[in-house]
Amino acid sequence: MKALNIAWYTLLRNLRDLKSMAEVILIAIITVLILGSALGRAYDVQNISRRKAVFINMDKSVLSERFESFINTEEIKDILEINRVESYESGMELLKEGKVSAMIVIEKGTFEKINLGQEAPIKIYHRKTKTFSSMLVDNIVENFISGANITIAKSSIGGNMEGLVRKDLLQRVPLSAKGNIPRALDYYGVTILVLMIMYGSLYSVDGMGDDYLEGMRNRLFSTPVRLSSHFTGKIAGTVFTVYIQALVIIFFTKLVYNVNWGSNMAQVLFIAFTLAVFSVSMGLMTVMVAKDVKIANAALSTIIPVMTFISGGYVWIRIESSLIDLLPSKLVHTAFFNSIYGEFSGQTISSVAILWVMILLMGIVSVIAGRRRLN
Amino acid sequence: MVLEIKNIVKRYNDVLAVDNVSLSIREGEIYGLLGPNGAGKSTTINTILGLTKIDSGSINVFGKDFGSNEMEIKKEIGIVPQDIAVFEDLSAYENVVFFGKLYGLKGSLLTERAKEALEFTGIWEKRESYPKKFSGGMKRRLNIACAIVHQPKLIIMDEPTVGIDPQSRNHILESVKELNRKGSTIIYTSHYMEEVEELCTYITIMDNGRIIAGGTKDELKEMVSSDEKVEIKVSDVNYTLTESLKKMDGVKEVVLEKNMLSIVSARNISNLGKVIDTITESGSEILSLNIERPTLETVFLTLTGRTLRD
Repeated sequence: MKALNIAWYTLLRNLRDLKSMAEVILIAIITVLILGSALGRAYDVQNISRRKAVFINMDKSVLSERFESFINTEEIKDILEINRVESYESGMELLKEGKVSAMIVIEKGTFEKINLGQEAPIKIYHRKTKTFSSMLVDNIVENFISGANITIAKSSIGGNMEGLVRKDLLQRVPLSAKGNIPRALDYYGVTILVLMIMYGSLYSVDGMGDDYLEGMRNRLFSTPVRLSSHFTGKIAGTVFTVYIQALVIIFFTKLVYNVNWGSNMAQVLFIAFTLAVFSVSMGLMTVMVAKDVKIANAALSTIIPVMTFISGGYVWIRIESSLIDLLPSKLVHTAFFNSIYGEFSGQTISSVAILWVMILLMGIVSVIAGRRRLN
Repeated sequence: MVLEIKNIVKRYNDVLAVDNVSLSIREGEIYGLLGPNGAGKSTTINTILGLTKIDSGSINVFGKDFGSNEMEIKKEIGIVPQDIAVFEDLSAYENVVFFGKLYGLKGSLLTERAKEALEFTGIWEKRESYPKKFSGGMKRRLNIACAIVHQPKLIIMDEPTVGIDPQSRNHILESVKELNRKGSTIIYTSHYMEEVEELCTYITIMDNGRIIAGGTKDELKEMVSSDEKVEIKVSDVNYTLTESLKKMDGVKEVVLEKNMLSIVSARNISNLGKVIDTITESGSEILSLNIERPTLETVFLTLTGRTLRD
């Protein structure tokens, strides 16, 4: 109850600071608009030129013929030209020379094995560096296999295999290629929201600094309230403050800019909530360890923009590193984009789970640092 | 005993902040803790509140060990910190209610106590105002209201009158006396010796982390001086008069400078009436009279060799 009391009064005090609240929301809304408009062309799907790949089919089954028809449909031809080559060597030659982005190889008996439930992958050869084009090929093959799997599953329970394959696959490809690709506004709607919530950690630094490091400290800590309740209440009040700001930004960008937040709004809101808790816990830990509001503010004001830049918050960049994948802002981007554009929520769940583990660790560090201050 | 501290030691790295301090505070006392900055007063207070962990020694509050009954004990203590500790963005009423809730009050009892605390400190009429609009004195009063909303048995006041106008200061001093009359035991620290002299029933003087003296104000003064000095300005003086004064009971020294007589007598010898009679009978007129008694400042100066504000 006492933690709830602290949370309520923290929220009340923050909400009364209307100027700061409005500033954060306005800056976020205006930044999304500016970046979304200025860099709009960089995210335009029409800028994707037609890519090339080659294909060897050594399998003679009905499914391999279906695969050939699939890659020759108009929707795929718009973005990827896949030509048949006669030998593995000639295909590799073209790949090495950089004339094509990838080579797809279907070996003899591949689809028969698939029908029997055995492992028989369709092989895709790329150049050393993975490019957008090679990812496009991966995606298309994956799409075919995904559709084929569904068809085989349906066939095994008595469905019509031939018709289902054609219908299912032909409908899936255009959806992935056109309807779901983010515009700049969609991209910056997410990344600026993440940046804004990350800056919420400064609320935590100032709030904790004012109340638990300076003049208020003795009065608050001399009340019959446990340290963990003080921290829980303070964190909860600050989290709700940051979350309210996040909600305003999400719904404003959705309704006014028509930013795509996906079809699973509950998931998006939960990710935003997770990030708000993370951000506030990060602020708490920083100020408790630094024991100085100015140092903590300076540290976070440096770390947050750098982290945002590396994880592609300002402009989309791709750096292959598992360490960077563990950056909180990168984890949140992954969670948001997978929730909005992905068909499977595995990556969203794992990213959010990692963030909660980090929150727990930061909470433990904060309480230890807080207790040390009492000595 | 409301509070019993035995041999507490607190060290910050190489600095010995509290050096083997022991003190006992009886119920109903206004206990003065006097000392210059860095004397160890605040550290001692912080150990009582559990804000600073002690290296050794023991603290018993209301007859219970503080370490194992911390939350229970804290419910009965109110703290008025030296720095004004109120939220500028909450109204006076909200501030008092917030702290009341932290001390476990709720419902109609909380409303009633908040009203009492604000009325007691004279800011009920301003309850809807925000502290940022308050004068320094009003903020100090709100600082006290937040500490007494739960009607604690023990109130710790750390320099509660720093930097305020005389009117608010008098109000606060009267409030302290009233709280004490209502049954609260009070620990009062201050730089202002006249406040401590006026309020406190027992005074402890601290310096360099140690207690250097303790007692009632009279006991402390007794410690540093057994004499009393009277300065009398007269219209006319002669050799016979000074010799007569020197021969009087209890008089130790008579010094004449121009027409000012300085007479040093032993304390507790009531000879002032006879001194006045002797002067008037000699035909001289008394123009002014000043009795010099040792103050707490004198006590501190004698014990430490420096003034309190050094």
